[in-house]
Amino acid sequence: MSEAHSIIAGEHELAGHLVLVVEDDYFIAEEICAALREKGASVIGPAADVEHGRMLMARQALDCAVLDVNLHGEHVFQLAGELRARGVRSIFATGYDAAFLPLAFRDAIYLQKPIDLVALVRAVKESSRSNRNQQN
Amino acid sequence: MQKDPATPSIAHFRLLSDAMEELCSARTQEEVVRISAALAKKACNVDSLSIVLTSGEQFHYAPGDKPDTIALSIRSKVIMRMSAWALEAAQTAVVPDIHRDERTRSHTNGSTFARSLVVVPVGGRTPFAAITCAWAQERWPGATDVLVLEALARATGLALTNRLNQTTPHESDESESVSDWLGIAADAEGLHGTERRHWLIVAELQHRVRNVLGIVRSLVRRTAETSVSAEEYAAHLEGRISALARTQAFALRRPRDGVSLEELVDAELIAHAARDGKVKTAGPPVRLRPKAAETLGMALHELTTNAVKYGALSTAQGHLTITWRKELDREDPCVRLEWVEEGVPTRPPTHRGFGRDLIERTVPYELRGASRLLFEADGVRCIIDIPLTRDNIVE
Repeated sequence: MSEAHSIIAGEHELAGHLVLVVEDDYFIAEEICAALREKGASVIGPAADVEHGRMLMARQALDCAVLDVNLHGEHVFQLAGELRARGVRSIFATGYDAAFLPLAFRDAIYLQKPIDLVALVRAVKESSRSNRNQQN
Repeated sequence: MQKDPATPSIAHFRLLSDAMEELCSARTQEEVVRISAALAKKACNVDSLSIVLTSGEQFHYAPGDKPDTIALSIRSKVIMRMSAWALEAAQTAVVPDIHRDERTRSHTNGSTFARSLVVVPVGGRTPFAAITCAWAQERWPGATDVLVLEALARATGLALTNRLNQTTPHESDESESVSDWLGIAADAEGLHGTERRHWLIVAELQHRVRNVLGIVRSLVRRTAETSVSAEEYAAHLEGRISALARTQAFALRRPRDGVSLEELVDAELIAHAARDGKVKTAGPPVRLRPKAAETLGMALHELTTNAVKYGALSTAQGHLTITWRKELDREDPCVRLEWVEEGVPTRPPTHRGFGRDLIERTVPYELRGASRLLFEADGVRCIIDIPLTRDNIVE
């Protein structure tokens, strides 16, 4: 019961957060989206490729983005750069080692696959634009 | 600081027009960097040129250095910091003295020769690169200097992306390809030859293993959600993990040649001991890319499991026909696979299970195709369309 209680207590941790999810595996994408929605976030996507992610990015004022690195053999860093140019931080969820991230993104939050969903929620909270503004 | 009005001279225009021509003739990225650094030196006595691309690539070069000493990673924290700033702000940054500018003051503890910087983001409102001109001495660049360096930086940025696209004629998106990026990471580690190849294989393998573990975890979770008993849970999970293992083995066997659709179908039927007289398969040779084979393999597994438990393969009179053909005369050419069970009355299920998601949702999401499961009076039918694209099919 205590577990159920803790889930309810933190239920709306991410309420009002707009999070873009880009991940090419259907079930992993679904898992990420479900974990974020459970905490009250509004998920944009999921997108399975860079092109779709780019289209979704252009339409919304996002708080942050959760990005898989390897999307059908295409890497996500160009998109991450475009997101950054809009002031949107990216969280990288990948099977690659953190050491492989380009230096330009070494300050981003990195989550190792399989993703720890609690860490994911925390990362989204930390990276979101609305929370960063409150801190400033 | 830019009190003097910008007044580029004829000499500046000449230098810039020469720059365009020279940069256009460069054959490699390194040549672009070298030419650009030399021009910045000539125009504004710049000591070094550094480029950070959002793709992660980096170049650092000081004219005067030997031609082969272009560094592929930038060690200066100040330059990295200001590149990130310029990319985010999408505007040029002028730092006359890194010790006095509040953007850089706290980053000057590392080793850097740079004292003064002009950092230009390239690519308009969504920059793809930041180009830094650095001087070893404090310097207050005038408005003309900034204008000239901005023009030079933009020409350099364009030349760099041109090189990127030209060196890879068969892969137009190579600048965004994972193998390219890993190659750059390997270069940054200073690896060569066998060691480099080994390192790349380990990176790819690590990625694959962790990804598969992620998929397994979601299989475990979703199967638990939709199973009514421990026995059913165990049986379903075992079947799905075995199917995943099979499709992985297929995908890795000869990644370049692709996976034969016929072999994929046969393997699934054999795994369920369902190959004898009850099943007919027919179709032209089709070779699937590893990812497409993985996705389709899992869907075929679910279809076969259901057929064995409740469908055409569960009774003596039922039979199953699996055919596929290339449909070229349509707007979005595809391979259409039809799964037709006959001789078994079926009723639509009362709830939507995980198995159905595996059949109907993964193909549209992962392969941009279509998949429809139909419960006909005589048996289950499934129509799967896999777009005939380079991502899915080996020509």
